[in-house]
Amino acid sequence: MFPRTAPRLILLSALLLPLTEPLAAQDAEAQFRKSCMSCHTIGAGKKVGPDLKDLGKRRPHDWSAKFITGAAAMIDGGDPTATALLREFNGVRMPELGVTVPEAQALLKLIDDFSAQGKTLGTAAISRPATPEDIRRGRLYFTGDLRFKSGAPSCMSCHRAQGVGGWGGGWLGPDLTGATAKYGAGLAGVIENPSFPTMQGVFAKTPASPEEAFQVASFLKSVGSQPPDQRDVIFPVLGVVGLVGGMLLGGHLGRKRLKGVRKNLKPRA
Amino acid sequence: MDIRSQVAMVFHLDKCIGCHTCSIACKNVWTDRKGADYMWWNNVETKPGTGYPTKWEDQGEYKGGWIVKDGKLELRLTGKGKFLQKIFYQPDLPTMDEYYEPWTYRYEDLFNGPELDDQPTAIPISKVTGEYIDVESGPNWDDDLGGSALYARNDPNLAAMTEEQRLQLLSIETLVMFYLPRICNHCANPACVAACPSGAIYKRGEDGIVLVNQNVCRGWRYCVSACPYKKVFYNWSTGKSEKCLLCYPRVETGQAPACFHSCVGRIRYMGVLLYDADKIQEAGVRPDAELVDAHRDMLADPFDPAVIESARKNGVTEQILKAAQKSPVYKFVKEWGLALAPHPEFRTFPSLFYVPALGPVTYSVENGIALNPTSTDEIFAPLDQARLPMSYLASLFGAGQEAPVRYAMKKMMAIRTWKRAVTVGDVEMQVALDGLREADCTTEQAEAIYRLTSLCNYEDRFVIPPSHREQAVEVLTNPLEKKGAAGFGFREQPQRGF
Repeated sequence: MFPRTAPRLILLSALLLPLTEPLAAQDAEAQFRKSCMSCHTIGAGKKVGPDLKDLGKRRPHDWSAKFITGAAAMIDGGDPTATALLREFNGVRMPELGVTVPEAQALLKLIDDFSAQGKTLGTAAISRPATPEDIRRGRLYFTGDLRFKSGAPSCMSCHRAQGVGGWGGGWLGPDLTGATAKYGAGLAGVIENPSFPTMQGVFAKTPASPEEAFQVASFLKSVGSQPPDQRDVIFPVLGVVGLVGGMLLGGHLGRKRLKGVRKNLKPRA
Repeated sequence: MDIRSQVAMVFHLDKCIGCHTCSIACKNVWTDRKGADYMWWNNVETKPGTGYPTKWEDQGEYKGGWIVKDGKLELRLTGKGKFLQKIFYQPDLPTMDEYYEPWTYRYEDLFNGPELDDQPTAIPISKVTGEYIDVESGPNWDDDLGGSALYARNDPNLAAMTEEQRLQLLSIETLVMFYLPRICNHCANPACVAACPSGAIYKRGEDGIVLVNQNVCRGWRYCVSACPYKKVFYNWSTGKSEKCLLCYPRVETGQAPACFHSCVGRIRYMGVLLYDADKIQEAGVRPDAELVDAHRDMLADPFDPAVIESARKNGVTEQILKAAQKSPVYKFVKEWGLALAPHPEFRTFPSLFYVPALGPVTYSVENGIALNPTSTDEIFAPLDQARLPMSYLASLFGAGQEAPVRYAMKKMMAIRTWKRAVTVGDVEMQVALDGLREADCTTEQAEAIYRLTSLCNYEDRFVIPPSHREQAVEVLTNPLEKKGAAGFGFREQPQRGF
């Protein structure tokens, strides 16, 4: 059965190939939202990285495609444009996105189309300095005391961070205390349009608003510089003491249990 | 007044020879099964001794029976609050070691063993694990005072005696013992029923037999701990509790239970007792000293018209009333005051009563040789010099009170002496009659006691009324429902397919 089915399936997909062409534009936009939009916009201003409007006019497509598919190699290879960009954007390196060359070309076409039509995609980063109110609200969003407008789950369901008190939060995702050190100014964008597969599953339909993301990022930035809590030492000690104490209490409460009658009659040897 | 009927029992210990035939009859009929093999719904103990399970009378260990708290009856083991504390772990369960680990022998070794210089032997193996075991105890390990230095010495009833009495009881020249056959007492105020969290144990309305519903039992085992007589057992194979069911299929068809029927010494009597259920609660909270009287007061006179009327109102049939009037149990317990319930201080009001055993007849020792009674005027030593101290019997049958035990013993001795005067003639009749009067006994009563003790036939010992199950079933189903329908039916519909 299978050896005969496989060639037919291949034939069938070959026939369907031309049908996929009109879908390419939509695919490219989805790809942009997924891979690029946490750091870039088209025509809405700078974020972590540059505004990509009129990219085709600024750089040759070949260079751009090469940079999208392998930014690290180009930065490390000392490409003059790449090094200049790195300096301009506070040393935040463009991550490895795992985008293939055809996908990169589709993305570039999308950028060109949007630039030509004057459409914008994405929102610019909020650049004002964080106020104490921003930090306070960010903490409330993190702990879930304030719900995201979109109804997205609070950060604490999966992440922990210092400064949220008690148990610190969930252990499914990483500790976000030092997230600012890793993402710098791009943190708000990452929160708004996360490029992590796990978070995309949760937030694709219910993204945080730019304002909310900025406030959460402000909160995380504020805790990034705090010294680590002493909780980590106290907690296991408390656990051991509690266990031993609980066992002693249980033994004391059950001291009158039936401990055997006949065996206690026998003289002890 | 709320008169109910109870199938009640009397065991005449003076006639028990400790042959264990009752135990074997019961075992063969009911407990020769996997998981039940360690149970002895009927067992015979040697007293003084620790019994089965070991030291069952010691409620400090086992927490069985009722206690009075703030003028109210309360289970020693559990209650509404206490149950919640113990819901995940019941700390007062006897282990298999308290009963014994049942065993058999690997008999096939006798046939299949390799050829050796010595005879092959069948080694003991556990009936629980199938592995070799070193047998350390059994259901009657202290039978006939075997291992008395360990077992008889630890009898909980010895606590009621003085140090001197204990020494005398346990020294080899003056050892004394009697047998105590035990089955479920089918109590009027059963602690096992009260303790069951599932409501699986119930006391049958028509005859007061206490049964465990195997479909409802969830294996909590609170009954095992709550029964002060340790007569509910846990079947480790089915995960349910089981107990003596007084052979109700036999009782319902007018036969005596297997252990009663097979009794070699004919020590067992069965008959109907009427009791006033309204008095149970009030009697249960009386102080220890009044418990024997309170229990007897609870038992109703089957000739009293008011009692009969109340019984009829409760659905007690005419045949049961007639049986109650002929009941040998009523005579032994209430009319004659000879039979006493075991450990009334557990406050469950057993329906099983014991006629205490008389001590050995008087003898004298000369040059180390025991001689028969020299003067038949005194067949028995005075009660204060009895080899089995009255305090021991009082602990077992009188909640610590010697008076009811002394009354029964005195009467039995007086009747024995009087009968000897009548038939043998070597006791002066006047002495014998004086003895009877002192023991609160007329010659007619003495004759009646003598006849029911010594010359009793099957019909005298067992007065079992018809159960009318055919009428009882009408409460639940209509027996005519299937009338006219053809063929056989199913009690439960067979399940097939999905």
